[in-house]
Amino acid sequence: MKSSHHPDLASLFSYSSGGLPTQFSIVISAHLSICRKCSEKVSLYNELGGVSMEDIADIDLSQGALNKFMNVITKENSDELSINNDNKNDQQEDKNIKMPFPLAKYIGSSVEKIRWRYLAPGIKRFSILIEGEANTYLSLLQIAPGKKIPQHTHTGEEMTFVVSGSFQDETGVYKIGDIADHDEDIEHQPTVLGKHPCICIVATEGPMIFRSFFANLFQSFYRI
Amino acid sequence: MIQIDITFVKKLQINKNPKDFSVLFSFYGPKIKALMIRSGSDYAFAEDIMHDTMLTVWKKIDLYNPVKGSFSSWIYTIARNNRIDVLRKKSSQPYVDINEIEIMSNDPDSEKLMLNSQVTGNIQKIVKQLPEKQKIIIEMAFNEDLTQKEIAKKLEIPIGTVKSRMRLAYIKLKESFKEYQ
Repeated sequence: MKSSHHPDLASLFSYSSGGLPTQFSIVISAHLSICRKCSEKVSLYNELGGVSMEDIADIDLSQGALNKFMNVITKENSDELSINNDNKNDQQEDKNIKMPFPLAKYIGSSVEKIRWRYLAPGIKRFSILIEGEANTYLSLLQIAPGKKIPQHTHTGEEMTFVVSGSFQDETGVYKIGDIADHDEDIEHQPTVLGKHPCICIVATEGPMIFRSFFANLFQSFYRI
Repeated sequence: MIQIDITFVKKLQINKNPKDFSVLFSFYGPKIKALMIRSGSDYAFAEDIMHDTMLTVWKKIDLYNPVKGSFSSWIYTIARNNRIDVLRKKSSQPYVDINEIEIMSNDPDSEKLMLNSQVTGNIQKIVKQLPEKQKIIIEMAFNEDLTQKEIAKKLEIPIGTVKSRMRLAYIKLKESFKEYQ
């Protein structure tokens, strides 16, 4: 699969250093699982982490740390055969996953099994709750063909990964595997293209700000 | 003193000898602990993360692929993920271990930044050559574990400037990397 739209380099940098909220990391993980270009960029950024770690002055471990560790791995070593068998089973299950695997552990492996909730005419949502991340949201959206999300901007960043279908906004056309990485300066109105619904996973920092009064009224009821 | 190089790691992957692994533990354990303390952890927490990280390294040593990056960056990634997991009190791992990804893309335009151990040995030299402003961003993000917003606040610069320097760091790294290849 070849993506046309990729995360901003700064987003990949922060992903590598661990500076992104979990919701955004999940969206980037989905993209990395299908995009070699971005995976290579993250690999290069990860090298910075390796170098940083090598450059730091060592801090002595507590007494007995090595013995404690050796006791654990000696036991692990004897259990190794069964662990390897478990891994093989995992790999076989992965072949049936329809979602990018980083999403499957939060959403499930099949779109058909998702318990959607009605959000607005033509729009369904499945919210993924992540503990410990205030004011940041992660939602899977299913939007009907031709449907437009009201014109809006954001109070923070918004990152969207296309799972199926496609949409278009002021910044381009986004297809399966693409990422729309927008900051608060972008005002846009995504419109679903083609004959099929668009399913995408969206991480947002803070609520959307709609231009129309009715969309804002709608937002106050549905908290999008 | 045993040198931890790619030959040593390969031997460990083949034999998985606990005695050899104790050498790895003694070398990387204090570094991981220092990294955790640098990013705000207390001593006990830092040592717990170090222990979990080395345990993951032990379990997944077979998955390390030198073509995809240096051994240090692989261990760094595991340590970072463990720390984030524990801090966020989550059992699942939102970060993808690049070495575990079965890339489905067969992109012919791929930049082919193949990071073999010979080349990654030069990363340290490349980083030292980066402009001071970019080095500070790298230091704050990777060692102090700060977000883009936190870096912007600490340096009293707009967040857009932080992002620009992060992008520039990649461009500089990539250029230098090609020179070394």
